[in-house]
Amino acid sequence: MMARNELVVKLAELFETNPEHLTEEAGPNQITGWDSVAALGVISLMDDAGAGEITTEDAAAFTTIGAILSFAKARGILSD
Amino acid sequence: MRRAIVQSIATHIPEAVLTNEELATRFGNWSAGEILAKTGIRERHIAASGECASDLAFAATRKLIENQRLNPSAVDTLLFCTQSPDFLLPTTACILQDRLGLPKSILALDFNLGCSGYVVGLSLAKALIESDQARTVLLLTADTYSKFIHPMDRSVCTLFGDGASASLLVAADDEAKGLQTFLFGTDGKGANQLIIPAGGCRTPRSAETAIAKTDADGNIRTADNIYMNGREIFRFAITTVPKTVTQLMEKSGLAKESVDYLVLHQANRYMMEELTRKMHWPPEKVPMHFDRLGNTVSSTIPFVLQQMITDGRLTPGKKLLLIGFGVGYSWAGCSVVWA
Repeated sequence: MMARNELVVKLAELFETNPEHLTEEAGPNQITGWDSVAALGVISLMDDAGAGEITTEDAAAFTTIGAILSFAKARGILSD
Repeated sequence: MRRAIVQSIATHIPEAVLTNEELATRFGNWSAGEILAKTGIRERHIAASGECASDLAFAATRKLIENQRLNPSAVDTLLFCTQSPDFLLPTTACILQDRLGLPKSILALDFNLGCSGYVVGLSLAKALIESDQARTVLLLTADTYSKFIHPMDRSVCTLFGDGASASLLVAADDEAKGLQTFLFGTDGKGANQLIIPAGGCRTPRSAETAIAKTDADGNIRTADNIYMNGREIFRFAITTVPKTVTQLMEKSGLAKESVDYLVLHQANRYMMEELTRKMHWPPEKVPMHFDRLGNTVSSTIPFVLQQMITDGRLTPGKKLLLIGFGVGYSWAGCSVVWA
């Protein structure tokens, strides 16, 4: 498990941006570093964090920071 | 008991090269360095117009025949893995039988698999040899995905290259060596994630299927072209391959420490590095050989094996795990003690 802020920092590293830019609504259109390879990194990050089975539908839903955080919360990854 | 062994491997790539510099010029907003950084691929070889998978397989097999001084009359089975056959019918393996001057008494068949195809082909060869239905098997793999790729679809034209391999499998008496344990997997729910939608009987090619459309990422393709959902293929790979490797080691009675090399299908650098990291394998045990080839589909594993033979890493007694995975979804793994 990890704190929400910790996950946001990891996502910021993945997207090569400042954590402050990662608003709930932000997606690939707002975050320059959220390219096709970084999108793979999100799946890998969730897998590393112990999300369990990530389905096709789960991966397709990683379209905003809020959606990723919601998924992480639902899978018990976040401690707060 | 007889045991099937891989006696020799030869490969062939077409002459024309597609470099990252050419792709960078084509796409404009992606430099050659960025393409290399993202994919690990410097260049890929592309079949010429009129040059088919069977031509590449033929060339690879001729090299094998010459290198091994193999008498073609000794071959009794030809297995050809391709997803880019010369024709819908007849089977391309029949054409290759004639062209290679192989006996008319042989079994020759095509099988349509992508990146799992080489390992599946090894299994077919092993079954035929160890059940005494065959003694000398030619396992050929070849694909020309470039013919199905829209030139403005960077999601695939940066990754795939054309190429072919020819492996000679024979029987040996030492059970401890050769092809050992196999494991397979299939999940057709993934069929739409890597597909050429038109051109088969389900959706014949038409004026409508030839209409180019631009996707959300700016890639252009028609229904006659390859579509790949890279994100979904990656998800499939990282959730399936580690489990497959673990299951194969259990089934084979092998510990990670006793395996010399884990030879994965060479999809691209990012996927291979992620799989290696997630499975906690030392990178030196997971060979990579695609930077001047790209992803050659069912030929990636024999390309790696041939490279390892050439550079002296693959010697008799080495223990390997081979893992192919991809389009279908289809995956297969096997343990091998190199003979």
